[in-house]
Amino acid sequence: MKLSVAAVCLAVTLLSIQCAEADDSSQLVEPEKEISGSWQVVQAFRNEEDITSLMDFSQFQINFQQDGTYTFQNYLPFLINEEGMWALDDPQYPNFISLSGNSGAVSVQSELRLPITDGKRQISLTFSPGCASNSYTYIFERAE
Amino acid sequence: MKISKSKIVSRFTGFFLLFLMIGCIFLDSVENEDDSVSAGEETTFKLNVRIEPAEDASNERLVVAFLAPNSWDAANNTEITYTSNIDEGVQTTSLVPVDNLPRNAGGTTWQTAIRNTYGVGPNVLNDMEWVVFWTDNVYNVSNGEKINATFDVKVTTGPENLRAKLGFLINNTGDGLSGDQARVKVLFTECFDVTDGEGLVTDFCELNFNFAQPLLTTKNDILTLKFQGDIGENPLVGENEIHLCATAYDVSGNPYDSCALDSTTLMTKESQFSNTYSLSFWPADFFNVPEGQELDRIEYTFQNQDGSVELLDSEGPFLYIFNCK
Repeated sequence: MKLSVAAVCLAVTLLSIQCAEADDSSQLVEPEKEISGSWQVVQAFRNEEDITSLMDFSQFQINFQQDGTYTFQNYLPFLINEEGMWALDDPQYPNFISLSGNSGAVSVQSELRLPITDGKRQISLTFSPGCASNSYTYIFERAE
Repeated sequence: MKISKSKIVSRFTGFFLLFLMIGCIFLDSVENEDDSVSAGEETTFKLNVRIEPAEDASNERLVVAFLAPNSWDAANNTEITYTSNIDEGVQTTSLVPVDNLPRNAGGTTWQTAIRNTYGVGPNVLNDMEWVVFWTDNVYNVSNGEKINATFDVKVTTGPENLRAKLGFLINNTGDGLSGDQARVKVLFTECFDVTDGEGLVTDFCELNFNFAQPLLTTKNDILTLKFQGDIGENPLVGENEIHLCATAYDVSGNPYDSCALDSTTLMTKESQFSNTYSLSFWPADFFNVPEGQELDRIEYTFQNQDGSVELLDSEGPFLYIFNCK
């Protein structure tokens, strides 16, 4: 009886090792999140109220260049008011984006969300450019 | 005493816990000795509450939500205590943790769910928030009990002069904002005045020709100004276009005009059935304010297309004051 229990344990152990090896060989690698390019605002919220229709937000664009710089077009109140350098905290699983102004005087880090809506990648950023009691969220999609 | 506290819960948890609810909740009245208080002073609202369970229920907390202007920072400046016929002495409440979601509100927080359902009640400005407390005690209740409780909502008012209708909501965790009118009760006060504070009186109670949102801003916010033409007779009735004619002043007194009466000042009509027009803008850009200058106020009027008809406030231009405290 003792022998048979030992045999079963050995078999299970071997099977586990084989399974682990099989899992390793089929492991998927999360691709890096690609946000380079021009993004335009498609929705804007102020203190959770949708204000998209109250102003023309669509003209405001941010362009994340592959060389790590970013530029604005038709600037509106945003996370930072200077063009400069951008970086993600983790290219595969980004939770934060860092923006550093060219003057070196301004640098911000903000939580980043990258939902996919109607098959389109979006960037959602929340910030307070004026009074700290006011919170704004811009949702960007790739500029057409 | 038919109700007992948390030590009893453990004895009966598992037996009574499944889908048992309180029958009816009544918020009979909200009392306040003051019709007005000075800015920054404390005032207390008394809520007279009755609870009449229709079934046995366990592990229940009573939920009390309070609607106040944002500038009061009510989450940090409110204390709610209570007495009841099933407790001895004064009992305490706490803010509901943000990770505790009401059972029947579709995964939103208590604060968001209450805001989505009840908004700001009869108030006409949105710069208000619900803060949500629950009893620190957890209760078991029995069918047929009659429970009376008086909640004292003690709040320190904010620094600004204002008039608002404050809101109070009663619910319980077992119901979790199901929408059943028997189990959630809401009352709003008459117009409550805060005086002797900063700035002009912000009127949450009644519509005026002018409307501004948000109330706390700097030049780098997005400001919305509205003309509400339906609230009374005014000379702009029947005009095809309504424009904002405004002058901003920085803290040094320098003026910045924006009164071109063109597409930049044209206000948008909110619907074909109303005479409410709005214009939203980034003040720093709208008034071309130099870097480093902070704005103090905007004086503004509403005008027709050629400026021949103008609506002012009773004593001059309407006033918006930049305040961020």
